[in-house]
Amino acid sequence: MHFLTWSSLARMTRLQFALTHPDQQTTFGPRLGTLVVRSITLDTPTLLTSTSRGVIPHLSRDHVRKSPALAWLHVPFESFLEHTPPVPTLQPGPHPLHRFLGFKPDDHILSFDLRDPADVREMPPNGNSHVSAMCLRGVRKISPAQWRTYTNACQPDIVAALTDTPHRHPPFSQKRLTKSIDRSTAWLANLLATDDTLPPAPAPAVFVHLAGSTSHPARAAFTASLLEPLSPVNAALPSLDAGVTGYILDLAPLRATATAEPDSHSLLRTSLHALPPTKPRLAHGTPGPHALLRLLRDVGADAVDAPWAIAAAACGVSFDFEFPVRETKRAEDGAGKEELGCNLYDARYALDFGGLGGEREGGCACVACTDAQDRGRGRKQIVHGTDASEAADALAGADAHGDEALPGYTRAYVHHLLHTHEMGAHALLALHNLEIVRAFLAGVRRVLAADGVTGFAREVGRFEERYLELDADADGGEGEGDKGTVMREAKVMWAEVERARGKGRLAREREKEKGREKEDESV
Amino acid sequence: MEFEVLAKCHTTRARVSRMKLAHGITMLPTFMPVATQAAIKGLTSEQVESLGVSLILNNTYHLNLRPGLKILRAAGGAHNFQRWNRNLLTDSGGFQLVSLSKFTTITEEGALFESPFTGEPTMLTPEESISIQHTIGADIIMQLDDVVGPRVGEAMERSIRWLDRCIAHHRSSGKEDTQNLFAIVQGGLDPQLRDRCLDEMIKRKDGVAGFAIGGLSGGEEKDVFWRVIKQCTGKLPEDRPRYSMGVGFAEDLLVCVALGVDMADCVFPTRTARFGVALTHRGPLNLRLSKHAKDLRPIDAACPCPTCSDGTSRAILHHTVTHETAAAHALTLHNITFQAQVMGRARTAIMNGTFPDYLKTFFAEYFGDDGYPEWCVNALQSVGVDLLEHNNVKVVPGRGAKWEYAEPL
Ligand SMILES: [Zn+2]
Ligand SMILES: [Zn+2]
Repeated sequence: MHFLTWSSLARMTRLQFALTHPDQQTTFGPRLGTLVVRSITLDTPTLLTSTSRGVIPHLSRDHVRKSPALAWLHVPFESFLEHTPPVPTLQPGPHPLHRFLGFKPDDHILSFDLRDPADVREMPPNGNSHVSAMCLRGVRKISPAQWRTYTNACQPDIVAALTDTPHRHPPFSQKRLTKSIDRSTAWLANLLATDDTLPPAPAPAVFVHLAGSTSHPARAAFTASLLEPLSPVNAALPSLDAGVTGYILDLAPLRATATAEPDSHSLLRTSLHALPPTKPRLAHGTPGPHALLRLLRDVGADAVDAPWAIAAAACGVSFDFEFPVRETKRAEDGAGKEELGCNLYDARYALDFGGLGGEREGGCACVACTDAQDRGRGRKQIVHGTDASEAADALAGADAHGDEALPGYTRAYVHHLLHTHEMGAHALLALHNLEIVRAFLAGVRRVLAADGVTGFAREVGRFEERYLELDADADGGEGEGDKGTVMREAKVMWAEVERARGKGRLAREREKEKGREKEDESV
Repeated sequence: MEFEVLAKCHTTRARVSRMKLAHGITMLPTFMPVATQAAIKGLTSEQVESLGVSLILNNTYHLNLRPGLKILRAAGGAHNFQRWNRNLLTDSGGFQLVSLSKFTTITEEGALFESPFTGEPTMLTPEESISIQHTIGADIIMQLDDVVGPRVGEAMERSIRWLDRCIAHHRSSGKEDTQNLFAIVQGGLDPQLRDRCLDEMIKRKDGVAGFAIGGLSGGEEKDVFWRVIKQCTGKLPEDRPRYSMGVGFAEDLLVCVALGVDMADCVFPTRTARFGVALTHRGPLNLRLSKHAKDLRPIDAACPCPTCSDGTSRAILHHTVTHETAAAHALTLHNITFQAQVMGRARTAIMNGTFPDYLKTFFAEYFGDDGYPEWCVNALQSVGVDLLEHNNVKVVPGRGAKWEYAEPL
């Protein structure tokens, strides 16, 4: 492996990150920063949202654009391996991945990884020169060279180097962990290398998964391999870490091995201990807002995903929580902790004409809670036919009959959509829940800016006192400890409606469709 | 309702009119997307409105079950409930009652059925149907008609009597200013029965704001379908809108418009979107087909819908249809726009006196070498448009081949 030329300058200008508070530039702990890509500046900690098959679940492109929460999108590439070459790599023009997926280079940062960070299913083993990835047609083996090619063709803003995550059950053998670290290191080196015999080095900023799984020594060893000086004869890079823009913290695989949260945090600290604190850290797979806050407090992260926001939307849960918690009308003392949201399947919402956001100060800014309000006021509408003047009249007519600001969609309406198996329910809830998480992180930044690390820790405590934890991973059964039951209950009711409305009718149609799909494929 | 015919086609019976209802103006002819459960599949009301749609349909039978009248009343009506600020039409609930519930028996009093809530025998009378529609609050409401089976003559006569009861009930309600009652012409496929129904219902013109043509779109021969439509539009008064129920394929819409129909509705464009079919001026595209997998073109580069104007490729749609609801939303946005565009172009052509040319251009582009459905050729010939003039295209008997693979059965 040669590092003949070094394009770190090009890389560094792609993505700029700076911690903005001097007292927060420590290795562990909450931190404020700014991340700049092209003309996009994000204050950190910020939200990143994973796409599914290239789209934000339930949202049409216009709704994505109207959601300030969706500034950083994460694209697991594996679903595109169904075709060779993968179709996004065929997109011509600048910013091909943005263009193919309908994201705006001026508004959206795209990060790119092979695998879905939330998918912790057991997979066929990786090899020394390939990672096993999953697409609808089965498992695909992807080599580091292919990964470079795809990255070059897609031009995301950020690319994750391939990593070797052991997928069998722990504890992992010393040998397996050594192999995992060696491979992850080699694959990172491959992504950073510039060599005439290889395709050109990718321009995107390179992030690296902090490997080592559940083993402290393995994690320390991986970090050491990042920092190890490279031979000056062969390498233009002083170390692999010098080519790395940011670090990826993976919580889902740790949870899958039943690692308790404090132990996970301790493992992540082991990985980060020797690394420069100034690089951005991207965290995948916190199980809920509480865990997210504790990760920020105890480890420190700058971009976090919240797969539970869309998971909650998918099962009918509408978020209603705030950070910092407000003193207001707290239910009488001793009333116990509150749920983080409402299960809108519940009959109690059938006549609830309040908005999704509850009684938030200033209301919720999401499309579902506000979109209906500014209808007809110069809103762009497609005009069909030459009756433009008539259409304008029609608009005026809408004004004439009042055009009183309609409030946003109500809980009663979403309750109705859920029980009638209407997809719109999940679109409205996804828009709303993502905005609640965006506002929650904005609150985190406000508290950090105003009250610093200690103030933040105090507010995390108050948050934990106010709200039950999200039972995002729950699939039924009893609640436990400080966990709420809202997701669990919603999932049960979701399944009932799915059985009555979906399985009864739509699933049969779906079966029929499958049969037809086979015929179609042969056309 | 204010209804004014603005222009008539010099050749066919097509016309452009302006219909002003309590929630604004709708230009006719128009296609009404169906929001059965108070929602156009997956879209917000604001999105539907942004597509240039000003009139949608809710189904009374469904809304009466869920959310139910108590909730709709508390919400201040269906407009408010679904945040739809434009015009709304509801059906009578009778058709779905007969097709969706068990043991429906029609008596002179009304339709007797088993309540889906309690299992008790329950009666839907013409008065009750109107009352329910008053609570829903749609701008256009439909009479309860008798649509049961083989006794076509009897059902037609009863529909006339029920119209009288609907008119009386609607008048006494004091809702005539904001809600407009439409009659439904019945009589099956029998020209004599149709004629009698038309005569009787036209006599009641002062009590109704418009006329629907019912008893069709039930799988009858297309050659019979258009003849019934033509018979009805030939007799219906000029100064009332005409609504053909359950019509949604582009060629059906244009034939109906040429025969003098002003409004039509169908679940097809939104339903077919969920199964991955995009409607285009060159015929439907089934995006599930693997031939689209690497096609980076939009569905229709000239289409003004959000999906096409954003350049959403067929390839990414192929990748996501039937897997992600977002793909269904993208196609629904497109298909509703397509329907509106077919009708909008018809309005433009009628205004400009070029409607016969529009028909010819549309059929040539849409069917191309696949051949024209014979019934369309016949129907349009009957109103003076010869699709085959200067054109060697073949003629296909039956419904026409274009929908064979696109329509999920
Ligand atoms: Zn909201
Ligand atoms: Zn389009």
